[in-house]
Amino acid sequence: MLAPQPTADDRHYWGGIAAGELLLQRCSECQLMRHPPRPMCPHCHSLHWETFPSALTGTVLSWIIPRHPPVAPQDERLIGLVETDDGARLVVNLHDFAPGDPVNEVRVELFMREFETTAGEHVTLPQARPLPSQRKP
Amino acid sequence: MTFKPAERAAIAGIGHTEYSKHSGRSEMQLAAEASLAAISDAGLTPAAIDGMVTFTLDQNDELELMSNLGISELNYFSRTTNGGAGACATVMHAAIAVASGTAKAVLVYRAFNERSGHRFGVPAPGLRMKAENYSAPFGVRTPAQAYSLTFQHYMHKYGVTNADLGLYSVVARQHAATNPDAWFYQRPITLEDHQQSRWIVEPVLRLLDCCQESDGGVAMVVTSPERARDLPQGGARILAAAQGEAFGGAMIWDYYHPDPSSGPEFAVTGRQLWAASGLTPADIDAAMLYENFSPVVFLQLESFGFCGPGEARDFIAEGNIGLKGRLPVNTHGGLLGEAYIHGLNSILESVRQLRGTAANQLDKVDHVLAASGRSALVLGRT
Repeated sequence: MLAPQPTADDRHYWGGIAAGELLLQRCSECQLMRHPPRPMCPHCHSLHWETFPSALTGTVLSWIIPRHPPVAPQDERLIGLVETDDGARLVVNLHDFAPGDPVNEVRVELFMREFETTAGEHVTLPQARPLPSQRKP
Repeated sequence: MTFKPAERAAIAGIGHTEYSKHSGRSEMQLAAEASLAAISDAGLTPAAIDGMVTFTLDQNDELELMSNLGISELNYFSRTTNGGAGACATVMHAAIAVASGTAKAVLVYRAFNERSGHRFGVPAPGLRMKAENYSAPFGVRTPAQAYSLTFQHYMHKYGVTNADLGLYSVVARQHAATNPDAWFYQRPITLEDHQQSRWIVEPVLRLLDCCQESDGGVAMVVTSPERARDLPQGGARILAAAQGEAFGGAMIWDYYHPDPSSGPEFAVTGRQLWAASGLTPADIDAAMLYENFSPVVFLQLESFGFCGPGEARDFIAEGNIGLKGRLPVNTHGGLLGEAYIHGLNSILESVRQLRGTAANQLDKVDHVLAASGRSALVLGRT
């Protein structure tokens, strides 16, 4: 697996994640949220922005399980496109779904997990799992 | 704004190498061979070429190609972005150069060893651009995986299954089976074959939903309609050419539009095409639709107005895209059946259908749509 390579425009985002926080970007002038992070507000063109902590809840829009190139069973990943309730679209790994469970439209909570990359670095990434209310007993 | 090059630019020559899995020669040699074939087909010599267009992803430098072909001067050269989605944009750029008088004869080319050399389907060892920060660490490493997150939303929204996608694959391979240039010549498949092929990305793409990886070179010459008309075999008039992008778009990680299942870019392209050509989808006799993966045919049929949103499955199931259908699609077998030369080979098939020289020649062909999503052409007879 690969670690993100932060740029001048998204270093704050990955820095927040490394510290365990999902910090989303919004315009300091008009308050419009934007994600992925970028330097200019497309609405008012302000270059001033701030971050705010995500509510860490959202909904699964779509999902896949990559089968090629083949991976070892322990490396198999359920990948989802999640829209947070703050309006950000995030690709994340989905956990605690059993094979055959519905995935689309399931309400999820985001959490952080540390991984070891192929290069041996430690990297923290946002992940998602069904909200407690959505879990099967 | 629309671009109406009809009376000012045409495709006069086409050329290609054989399509293989191991060309045994350099990408530059493939580019030179295909280019010379296209120039000869246009009844020209390399001395007449004064412009060049290729893909940003093409590894063949214009200067080196000039040195191979003996082209003395270039007045115009440009490259198109978006990978295969820019395939038709190459012809648009060339047509704009010719129509504006910037160049007289523009060579469009694309050549690679995409099977025996660098393969698009194999994950790159590292990240190459900022957008990948938001997908690659989570395991989205290939184009098939990146696109499938949008395709799966489409399938869920409209109840389309992987077996439905296979309906297209069967048609593409049927067309390839009777095209001697196709890698899958004489090798049709059934829907059962499709369903038994292995998953590439569950629950979206099986092996037989994916384009090939191919070695080969393809080229065209865009010049004046008069030159094309003077040729015994004719050429293709460029009735309309369009590109499309839309706010919120991202290249293959296109996850940020309000509806992630179908970006508005294709519709932006289509709207301009119909306005510029004065035609409607009902006037189109055949369509060559870019398909790195089978769902892209579904999305283009809908976005270009051949059927409504979510209706492509029924449109295909009812037999409309076969050789006898209302809108024959990818009559050469497409990128699944013929070869994957980044979509440029499908534009050649459009020209052949208009000239009457296709392996699977249709009876009556006045207008052909060549589309690669974010760019497209309407071509007519000279």
